[in-house]
Amino acid sequence: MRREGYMVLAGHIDERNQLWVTITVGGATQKQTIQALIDTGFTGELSLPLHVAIPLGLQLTAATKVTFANGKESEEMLFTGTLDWGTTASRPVTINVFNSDTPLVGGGLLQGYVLLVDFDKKRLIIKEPGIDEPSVPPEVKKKSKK
Amino acid sequence: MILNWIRCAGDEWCDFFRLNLNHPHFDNLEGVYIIWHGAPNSAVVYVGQGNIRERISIHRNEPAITQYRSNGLYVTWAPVASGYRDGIERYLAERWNPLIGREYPQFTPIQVNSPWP
Repeated sequence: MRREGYMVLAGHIDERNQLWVTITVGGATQKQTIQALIDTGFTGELSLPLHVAIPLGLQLTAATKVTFANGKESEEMLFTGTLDWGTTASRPVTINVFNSDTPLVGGGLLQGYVLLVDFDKKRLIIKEPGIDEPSVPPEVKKKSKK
Repeated sequence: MILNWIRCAGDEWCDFFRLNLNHPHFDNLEGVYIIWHGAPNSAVVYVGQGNIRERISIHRNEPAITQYRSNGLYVTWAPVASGYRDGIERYLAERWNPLIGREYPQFTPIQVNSPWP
């Protein structure tokens, strides 16, 4: 579900130049707001550690073969939950659950988003899918009126 | 001359393809504009002038410009009165050496601030 308009979202860049965003993920029993690492090498939508996923009450939807960066393949369970992020509310999201420490946002979730990364200033700006509205200073607005 | 280079929501540079050209800001708006592409090897792609809405609409269908889409294409513009545009366009073209060259008007360059330091 998408509310009216779109937003520019802020993330943050840590000292190791890793990109992080804050998202809220939910299942049948609860919602949790978490910090997730953007991993563009992960083609899925969202990956959650076991300790985050279990209390949410996620729905098991499928099993799929996963290929890891080292080439190793594994059969993994896929779950469905909901995602709240910016103007996106209760969007169904496919979740891989791993025995890891870090939630990951993958490329599948970022389709249509624009990420602007300034490593020098440690700024991460995320534009939601949609149109880009000009931000017009007041004096220019005045001059451009006929 | 100091120009107001316009940005988009979040004080970020406007995405060339996603920019809302139907925004009332563009009604009768004329000036100069710069199109550039992002990393790797960011570079100015085109410097132009005229009716901003019309010009950007045309450029969105020009393969010479859209070939840089995968790098990310951005645009900024500044309202400028017609009498100054030729000189400013020439100055910006000489300053940034756009990838898509063309014959810029033989007017005395008018120095302006650039969108970037």
